Amino acid sequence: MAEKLLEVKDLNVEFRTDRGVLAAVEDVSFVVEQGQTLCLVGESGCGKSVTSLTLMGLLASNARVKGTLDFGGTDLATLSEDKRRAVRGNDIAMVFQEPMTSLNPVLKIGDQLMEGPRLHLGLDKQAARELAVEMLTKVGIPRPEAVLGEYPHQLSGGMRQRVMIAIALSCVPKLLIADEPTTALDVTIQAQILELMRELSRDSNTAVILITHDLGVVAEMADHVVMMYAGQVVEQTDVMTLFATPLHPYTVGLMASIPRVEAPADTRLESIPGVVPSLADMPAGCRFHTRCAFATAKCVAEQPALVEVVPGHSVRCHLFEPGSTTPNPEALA
Amino acid sequence: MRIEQAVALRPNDPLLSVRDLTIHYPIRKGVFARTVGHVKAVNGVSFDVAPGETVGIVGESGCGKSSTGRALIRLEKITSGRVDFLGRDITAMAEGEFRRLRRDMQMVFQDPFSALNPQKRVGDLLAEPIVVHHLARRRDEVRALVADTLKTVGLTEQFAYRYPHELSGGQRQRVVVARALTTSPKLLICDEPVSALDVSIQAQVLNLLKDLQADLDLAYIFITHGLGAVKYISDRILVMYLGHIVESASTTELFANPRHPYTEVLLNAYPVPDPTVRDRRQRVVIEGEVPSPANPPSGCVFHTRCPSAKDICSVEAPVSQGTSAHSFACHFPLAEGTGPGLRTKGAVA
Amino acid sequence: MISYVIRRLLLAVPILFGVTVINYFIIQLAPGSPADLYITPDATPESQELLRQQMGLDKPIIVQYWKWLTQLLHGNLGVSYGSGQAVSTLIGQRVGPTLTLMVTALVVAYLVAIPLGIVAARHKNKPTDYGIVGASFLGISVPHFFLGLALIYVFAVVLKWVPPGGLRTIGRGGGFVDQVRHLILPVIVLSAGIAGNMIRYVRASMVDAMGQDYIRTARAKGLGAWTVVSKHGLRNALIPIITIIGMDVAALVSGAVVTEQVFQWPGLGQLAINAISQRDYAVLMGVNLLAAVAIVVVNICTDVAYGLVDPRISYS
Repeated sequence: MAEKLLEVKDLNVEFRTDRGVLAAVEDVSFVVEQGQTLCLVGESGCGKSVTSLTLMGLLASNARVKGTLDFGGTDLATLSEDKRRAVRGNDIAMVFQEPMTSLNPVLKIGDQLMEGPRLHLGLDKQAARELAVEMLTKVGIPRPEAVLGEYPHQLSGGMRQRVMIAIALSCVPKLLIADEPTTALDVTIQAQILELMRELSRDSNTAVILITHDLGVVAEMADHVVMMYAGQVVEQTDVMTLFATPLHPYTVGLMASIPRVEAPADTRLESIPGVVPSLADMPAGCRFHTRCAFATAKCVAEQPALVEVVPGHSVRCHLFEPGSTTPNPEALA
Repeated sequence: MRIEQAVALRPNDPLLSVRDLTIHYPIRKGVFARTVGHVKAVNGVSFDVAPGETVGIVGESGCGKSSTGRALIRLEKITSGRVDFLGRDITAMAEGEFRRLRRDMQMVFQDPFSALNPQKRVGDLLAEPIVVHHLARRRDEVRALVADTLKTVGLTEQFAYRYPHELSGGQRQRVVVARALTTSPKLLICDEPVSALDVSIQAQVLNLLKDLQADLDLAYIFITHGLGAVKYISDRILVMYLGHIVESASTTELFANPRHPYTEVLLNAYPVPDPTVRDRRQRVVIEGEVPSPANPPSGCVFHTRCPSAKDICSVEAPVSQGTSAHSFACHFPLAEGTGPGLRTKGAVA
Repeated sequence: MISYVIRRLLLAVPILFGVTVINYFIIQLAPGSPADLYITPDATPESQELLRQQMGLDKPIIVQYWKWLTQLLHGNLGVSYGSGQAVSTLIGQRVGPTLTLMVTALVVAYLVAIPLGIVAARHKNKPTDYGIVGASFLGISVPHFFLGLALIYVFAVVLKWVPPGGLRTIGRGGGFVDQVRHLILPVIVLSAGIAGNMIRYVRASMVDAMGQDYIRTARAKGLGAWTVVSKHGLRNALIPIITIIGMDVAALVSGAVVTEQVFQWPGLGQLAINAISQRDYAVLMGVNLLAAVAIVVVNICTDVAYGLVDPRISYS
């Protein structure tokens, strides 16, 4: 068993807006172990990106955070902004979804790459430059010396994402958060970037929180998976178990709704009816009941708790009771 | 008008026939904006679409798949080549004549959020093509047609009174499809119709497109980068790279028996939603990126990234070989039966 | 880059030609004639006609314009009907004061507007923001002549802190301090509108820049708030502002006409007003042409500067 790096406990994030207080994340708990990859999976509005921004301390000023974020013994949630900043980009780094817009268009790649190490590692210009060249080489950028003097628009999307990864890894973080890092990229480039992330995290024992909606990427990358729906964790387990015995009707539905390359011809896709509920308009009871084929009066009335049904496998659904991974229709009565 | 067209099309004729389609955009420079080169977006693309058939076009960004689709409804200027739709060459057609033909060929774009005018109600958006093409004159006829079309795409009549911003992404894409269907087209060109949608919604729209095809005898050109979706919906698939069709085959044949190295690379790069195969899979992660279409490589356009490229590939462009059912343009095609997903570490010597 | 500038300059020729045509014919639409200046009450119709012939005013407008244009192409702006001096000489005397006024106003406006715009953006939708934006609206909406007269009344007439007008105190040497004291009020009037406008542009541009993905990246690196704003936000925010400078110069040209009149500032604006009242078309055409050239040149300069500052834009 690897050592625990980050423990998120009972995380709640609310936004105060004109339309009232919106709960974006509710009672989210998970553990990230050193060198492991945890995938946060879900569709738009499920709270996966808010969770990651909370870990970085980059939420908008109208956000209110409750819960503990235990990172190597310190609770990130209670740190002052100055101390938080010392962690950010240093021990915890982040790669974003849009490589085309995530780099500053008017600053040279070298400038943007050297900022972090100069700040956190206290390197002088020369040393930071050497590190920058080393990092660019590591992420597979040809002619790294020349790229330092170039601007982001001169690079392709795949190259920019490599630069983003180089920036994130330059201070040797213990935890890398990657928010849909390959969604905007072509498949062959996605394969390159995923391969690169795997190698880098293996070599430096960096833990990764990978946020994605793509179950294919999850299957390729994850050790542990946290499935989210409408701001809550609905299922949580290791990747093999999740794909072998998915429990929550949402997980099952999502898996059936992806068109698979390896599926035999003429199998019809299952689709989940309805739409993801909006934050301002959350259904009572189980948040999935409006789209769930098994929903009963109990699901409408009562919110299920996240229950560890067998060791290492939790699910938030009335169908399941502790001790068994077989659905129990009687529990719905 | 419609009857004439139907008569002109004999039973075995394709609905759409594209021959040597080439689209080059000029690059202009200097004081007098002289043309100094061309972005070679599409180069000599040929394919047919039969009535009721779905042809998928896959490829990465810059491969020319969207330009091809847009050229078919004359949103792109065609440099050379011929496009016959319902037996008539649309490249040589006057604008008014083409507009009449357009009701048989509609397009669905990627982004349902920008494709709908936010100031208009869904009902008005759907009524527009009906009025433009004189499909109904009286108000109640138009309204009835709008209601029918909404039902066809799985929405209720009430949606006619809503504005686009009141709809979810999936509902919007249904409205976009509905608008394309109001003129009862024979061919629908779908450019990345589900890419902007959530996973659980993508399946809804894909199933909708499939059901509509069965009910309305529609033909589709389905342009996408998503292999799973294209496999699910297509009868035949064209694989494009840098403006060329590198391989074309029926869906089952292409996935079971890819012959072009690029096709194999593409199939291989697709992450399989099954964690048990990830360590067994033979990954062919290719180096480098797609070269610029303004300055494509000599010979075979794929040779700069091809795992099996040899000297001749950089000199001589391969001609298409194989049968009309399965053709590929490669000097060193893969042996038959090397299916990509099936190829595992153990299987490779 | 050079070919881009050449292309822009070539394009400027028909624009300037169009401007002179429109100006020339609009001026002719005004009642009265330059000859009126020389006509005494007892002049006979014959002598009036003779005078017109001597001044070339009896010819069709097109012929007059053609004569003016051919002169211009020989580098000759013509002669003032009023004073008989060469138009180029008159303009040459007036350019200095106007440039001093305009450049000072522009610099002051930007020195005030850019920091205020940033502050407003940083406190978006808070009282500070509302205050700054409200003040900027005031600056935009108060007319130059009114603001000028009000300032003269308060600071020159009542408080007597500064002189009410003119370039320098007549009779005294007119040292640097004296000139600055004369500059203060007209500069305030001219820069109020420019600054008011600029604050709103800077604020909008800054709000936009601070919402971009690269700002999130910068914050994710752990950079301090000040570095994020100044290094990552401001540089991007100021790029679109550059093009506004071109518009500001155009606004200054028209603003200067009124302001110079109010403050008796001996610049081109005053020259133009006098020329209008005397129907001195030659002078008026000269000033108009100069203003048009200035605006065209400044616009080319800002576009070139845009390309230099934003690495994404290339004019090659």
